[in-house]
Amino acid sequence: MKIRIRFEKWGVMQYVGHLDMMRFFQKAFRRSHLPIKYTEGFNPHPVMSFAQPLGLGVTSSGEYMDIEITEPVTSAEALQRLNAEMVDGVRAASWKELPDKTPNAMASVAAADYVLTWADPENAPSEETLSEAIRKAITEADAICVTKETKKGTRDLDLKPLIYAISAQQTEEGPAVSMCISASSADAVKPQLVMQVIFDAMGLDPQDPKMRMHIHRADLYAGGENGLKSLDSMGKDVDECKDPADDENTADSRDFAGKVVDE
Amino acid sequence: MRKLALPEDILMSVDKPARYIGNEWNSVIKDPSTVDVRFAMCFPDVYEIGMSHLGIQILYEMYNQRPDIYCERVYSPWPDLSKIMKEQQIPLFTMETQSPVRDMDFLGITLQYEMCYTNVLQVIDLSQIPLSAADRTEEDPIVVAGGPCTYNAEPVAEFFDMFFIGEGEVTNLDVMDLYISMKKDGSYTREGFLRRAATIPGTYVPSMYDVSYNEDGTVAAIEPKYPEIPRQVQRQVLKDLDHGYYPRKPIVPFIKATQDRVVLEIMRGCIRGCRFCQAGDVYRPDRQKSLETLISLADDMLSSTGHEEISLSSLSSSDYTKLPELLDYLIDRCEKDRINISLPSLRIDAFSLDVMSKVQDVRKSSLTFAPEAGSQRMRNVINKGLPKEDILHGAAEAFEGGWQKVKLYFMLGLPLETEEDMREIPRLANEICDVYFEIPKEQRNGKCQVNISTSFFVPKPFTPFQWAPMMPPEEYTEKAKIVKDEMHKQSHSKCLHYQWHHPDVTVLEGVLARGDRRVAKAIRHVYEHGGIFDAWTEFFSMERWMNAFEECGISVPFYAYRERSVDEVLPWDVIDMGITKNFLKREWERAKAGVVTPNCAQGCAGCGCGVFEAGICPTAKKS
Repeated sequence: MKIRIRFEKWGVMQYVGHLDMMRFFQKAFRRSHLPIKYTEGFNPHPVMSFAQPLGLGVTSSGEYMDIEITEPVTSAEALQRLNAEMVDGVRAASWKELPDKTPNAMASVAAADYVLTWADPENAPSEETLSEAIRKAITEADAICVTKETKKGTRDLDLKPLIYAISAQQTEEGPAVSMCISASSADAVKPQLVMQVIFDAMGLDPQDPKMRMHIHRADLYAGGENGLKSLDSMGKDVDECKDPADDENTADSRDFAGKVVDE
Repeated sequence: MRKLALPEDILMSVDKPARYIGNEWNSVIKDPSTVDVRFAMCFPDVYEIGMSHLGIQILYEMYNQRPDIYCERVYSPWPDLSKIMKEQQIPLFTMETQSPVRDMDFLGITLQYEMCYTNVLQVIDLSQIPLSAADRTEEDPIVVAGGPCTYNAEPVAEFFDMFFIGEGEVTNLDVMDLYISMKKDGSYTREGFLRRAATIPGTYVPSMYDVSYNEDGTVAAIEPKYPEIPRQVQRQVLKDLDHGYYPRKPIVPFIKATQDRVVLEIMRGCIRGCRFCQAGDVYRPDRQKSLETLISLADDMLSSTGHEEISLSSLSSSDYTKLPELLDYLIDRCEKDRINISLPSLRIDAFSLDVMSKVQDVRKSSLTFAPEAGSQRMRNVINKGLPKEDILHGAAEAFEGGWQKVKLYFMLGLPLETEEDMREIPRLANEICDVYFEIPKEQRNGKCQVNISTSFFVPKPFTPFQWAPMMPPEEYTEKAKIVKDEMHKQSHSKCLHYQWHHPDVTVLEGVLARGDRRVAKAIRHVYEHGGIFDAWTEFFSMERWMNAFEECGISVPFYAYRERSVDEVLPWDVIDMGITKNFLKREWERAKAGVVTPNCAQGCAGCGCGVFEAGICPTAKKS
């Protein structure tokens, strides 16, 4: 039985890298005694597949991993047992059973939501300035030519078709830029690259220490005929003893993500 | 949310920031305002190394069981962060509450190897505590050390207020209780506390002793300053391991530590009495945990950590009396829960091969033999009673079991070593290859590979070789070349590979291991000229050390190359190890005569550790 787990990562845990998070979950699964399926051989480990690595220093409310289990367990019980093994800064938010033929999380990722805020909100441009820069440089631009650094060197790229939604907002952490951008394996875009375009339009230098930003990933999406769908929406909670709080935490209820699906 | 000591921009600019955030599973969180003593426990090396150390986890457990004590951990910041902290005057902090170390009551540092001494200074300096104990004020924490290097702590004595000699489980809490009571009744002064602490067994306060020197540079005398201060500090030994502290909930690091597994300490001490081995002398007597204790500990630690591997820890696991029963249990339990078992320090014989074939992939793994010396003569000198027949027999069984990779560990530069002894090393390796080729071709499992590894011997205090001379680096290199030359002459030379370590560090370890208080000046000089992480090849600079020795008037030949007379007062004579000087002298003579001494299980050799009335030797005869 395939299970998709959505989890959140915040606070000091932003400094724990992807591979270490995988190790953390492996050990947490063992402690939880959940009926996880293991690989065979001399070094068995849980069958586990993460949707997409999260960069160091990035927090998230929408991380996903797919696992397999050997016997059914309700979502409520699984979450309770798994969260009993979490440290401050990681929390499993949903545990959903996937239909048998669902492609794994990694293969299906098409887009990601990010929210970028200034490390020191005092230094942030106003929401109006940001909106204006976004309109000029992105929304109204015919093409956004940038140079992307790759493992093999650099590559010229048009960002325009890879940005699905973008806007400036006022948040609790000060002015913010929200964006939904391509995260597919073929055309993944880093939010910093989009931010660079906005900084250029404002005549600001992103390398300036005052402009240091915090990146938060809000959710990950799969593509499809009806637009982007949160990876969380592909599975179903197991059995009727569902915790109503779960619903509030799913990305579908978020304003920003909702807009993306509507478009 | 916990606030970190380091700001985001610094954390994002250094390698592996997770080294500095704490928050690990099973780390202990207390409210510091509710305790009487705050203790910062430091392993002076990078986090991944320090987190792998069992001793600290035991003491962490011991201190934190006390509601009035809060023990937190500290590690050496990697050079990238170290530089930033020094430049920006950021004080070194604890993992758990991210508090400055200088706000603690105690800073405890474990001294596991001599090459960490510059990191000790780094830790004290980054904590913004004066390097010399003599310069510290009433506001500074008491800086204390434990671990095997404290058995000759003289080269770093200047930097410590006190040393815990022996196993911390025995009297460390008495020292804490003294501190608490003096703080509470208002009688506490740094000097007053240290003077009283020096009378608690196992506490060595170097400032309470005067050391004088002879004209030839040797130590003349080590004299207590006050009548109540003991002439010798007795090493503390935990009598009953079943009732000692042990971490049933060890901390699980986020980043992969060197020991990324449950460590089950099955015994302390070793019966073997190899004459080169300091551990074999200073952890005496051999004490074992009961099977019941070990099973309960293994179960608890596996469930509380979620580790996927468990490893047995001891100096010689094959000597654990109930090893078959323990392994039966572990193999059964670990198979069910898909947990790996790692079995270091097993003697290769039919039993261990059978066990290993159950827990590892035979095709991929290699087997390790540690003959330590190539010739039987030399093995007798070092009291490593491993006959060649046993090695060849073990190898034959291993090859038949499907193994084809063998690692052999040897030492070069042992006292009384001849060229013939060195040449015997590759010859022994070649004979092991012969054994492989005796197996019919169709039964062989690929190519046979024998890796020879040699390290250069460093004489250590409290061993029969503590008086032995070392030699300049060039001579060690010469020895390695002889081994290499002989290896190429072997009939199976294509199956043989040889590795050796650079001899510079060897000589330096020699100076630090048997140094006296005057060596401190050079250690400080090296630190002040940028030396840290000397245990790491990429940061070690022999030139920096040689300059320091020259500037500070420290003679390498005097400390390293000189054969000491058995009548000489040794800098570590202030410590009462249990093992007596008479026994060590006797063993030094027997080594020279090539006579083997029976191990503790065969009969008591009267080493002196019978006074501890523990483990294998309650009925021991007097030394």
